[in-house]
Order: sequence, then structure tokens, then C-alpha cells
Amino acid sequence: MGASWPPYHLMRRDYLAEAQAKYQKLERLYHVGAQKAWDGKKVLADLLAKHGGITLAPAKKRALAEIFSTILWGELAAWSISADLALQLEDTEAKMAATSQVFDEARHFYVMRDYLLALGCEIPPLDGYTHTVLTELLETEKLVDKLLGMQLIVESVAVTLFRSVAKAGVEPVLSELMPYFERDEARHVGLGVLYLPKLLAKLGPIEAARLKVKQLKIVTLIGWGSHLKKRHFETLGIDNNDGFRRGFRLNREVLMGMRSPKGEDPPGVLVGDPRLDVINDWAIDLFFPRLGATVPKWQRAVINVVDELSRVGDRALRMAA
Amino acid sequence: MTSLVKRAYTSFVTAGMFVVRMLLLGFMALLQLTLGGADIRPASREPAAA
Repeated sequence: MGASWPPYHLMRRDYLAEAQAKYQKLERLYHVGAQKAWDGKKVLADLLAKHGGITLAPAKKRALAEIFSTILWGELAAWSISADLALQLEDTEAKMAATSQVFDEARHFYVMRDYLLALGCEIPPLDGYTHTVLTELLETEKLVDKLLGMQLIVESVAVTLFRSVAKAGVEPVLSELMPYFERDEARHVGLGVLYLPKLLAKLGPIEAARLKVKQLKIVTLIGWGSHLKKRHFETLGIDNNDGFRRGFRLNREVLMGMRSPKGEDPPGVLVGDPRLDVINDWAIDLFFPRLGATVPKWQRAVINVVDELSRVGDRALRMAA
Repeated sequence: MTSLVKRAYTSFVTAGMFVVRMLLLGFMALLQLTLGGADIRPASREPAAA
């Protein structure tokens, strides 16, 4: 423990006034989190009773288990990472927001675990792509990596996925459960949006470049991971094209939320950069055509190669798991 | 594998996968520009709430 403990400045009135002015919204995340905390055991039990349990064809159950194994272990990682953040963040307001997130993630984990147990299907091991992303975020000691990777990228993916699952109406219990998760995750993205600019402002050009490479790595892994799970999404009637587009729009709004009062982008942030819009639009439509869209033969052939390569990459990354 | 070796290995694999993805994207873009037929929509600029 550092010699400067306890941090007496936390009780200085001038410090408190300044911190309150700067981070009032972060403190609000904590209070809103406490007000909107939901009883996971009760909500799930009520939904199961309302819909008479989970009724789903075995093929759809397997597809759901494939996709939600990622969510289950993602929630566990988010729980540990938010606990790390609560420990490492110095400003009280940010610490409060991260602490609130720890409670949310614990609830998400046990609700998802109980839902998957009720589904009655074997839960497959984590794929190589997701495993790599989550272990890197768990193991890094860099606060800015954890905050950017987890709060902005992984949480955004989670929000998008929860919305897609609810929209597709895959299974009534899950469809009604997802909005509870989504509301909490939106607050978690808020922690990143409100606090990251302070950390990013301290980055030098080399650190900013390193952080961009890190984001590129995470986004690449998420892209290939989506190919790997594509057939399961299709089985459930979830349109990846729609999900990716919504995800990129969310990233852009997050980036806009982090801009300085002068409208300058924070250094080191790659996701949501409007200069990448054209590439993103083409990549989404070429790699993930809309469900039901007419796909030319050449595109179908290349996508089949991509799907096969995604399995090769998965095997390669699992070797390090 | 130690943590450092694991990270180097996964970074190497990911870099390879990134290059392959970019090459495939370029190839598909070329096919789209020459043969056409794929549905390309510049719609990701709509607001997230849409």
C-alpha cells in the first residue's frame, strides 16, 4: 500500500467541490445503479413461471448455449475487471460507479448461469477469440486498457447482442430478460465515456498508437469470433448485419460523448472513428450479408472460405488457452 | 506456456488474421466493383436509437 494512504485530500472542501463539478455524472451512475438494482433470482423465477419454463427446439437450444457461453464467461470477466477498476480508480466518483458495476456484473453472472442451467443444455467451452480478448483484459495491469477494452468495446458488443436477441424474439424468457441486462450495461459504457477522457488526455503518441493497435486486435478477434458463431446466430434468426451496424453506431455515439468541449476526439481511440465508416460499411455488408438477402455466388464462396478460416484461427488460439 | 509467450503467440496469430481479413476484404471489394451483386448500404450513419 502506498505511503500516501489514507488520501486525506478526499476530505478537503476545495477538492470535493472541484471533483463534484467534474464527476457529478459518474457519482450519479452509482446512485441510479442502486435505485435500479433488480432482484435477479425473482425476475428469472417470475419470467420462468410466466412463460411455463423454457420451450425451445433442441437445435435452437444448442445455438443459444453456443452464443450465451460467451456472455456467461464475459459477465464473469466483467465482474473481475470492474472489481479491479473499483480498486485502481483514484477519484471517488469513478470508484463508486465501478463499485456499482461490480454488483451488476455479479447479478448478470448468476442470472445467466441460472438461465443456462434452466435451458438444460451442455454449455460449450469458450471459443479461442473470446478467450483471448477476455484473458488479455483480465491480465493487463494498464487501467486505460481495461477501461477502454471492457467498458467501451466489450460492453458495447454486449449491449448490441442483448438488443439483437430481444429483437429476434428467440425465446420469451430471454427476450424479457435482456432489457434488464441492457439497461445495466448502458450505465457501464457511461463509466468509460465519462472517465476515459481524463486518462486518455495523459497519453503520449506512442501510448496512443499502442492503444489503437490493442483496439484493432480486439476488434479483429470479435470479427472472426462472429464468423465462428455465424451459423448459431442464423439458427436463432439473429441478423449479424443489423447487429454490427447498430454496434458501430453505438461506438460512434460513445466517441462523440468523449469529445472535448472544442469537439476534439480523445487520443488513442480507434473504435467509432468516422473516417473508418466506409470501410466498416463495406466489411459488414460483404462479410455479413443481411439475413434473407440475395447473395451472389462469388460472395457466398468467399464467405465459406472465411467461415472455414475462422475455425482454423479458433483452433490456433485455443492452443494458448 | 507462460503469460508473456502466450500473449506474443496470440498477438502473432491475431496479426495474421487481421492481414488475411484485410486481403479478403480487398478481394471482395474488387469482385463487387467488377462483378457486383452484393448489397452494400451506407447506412451505419443512422442514429443508434433507429
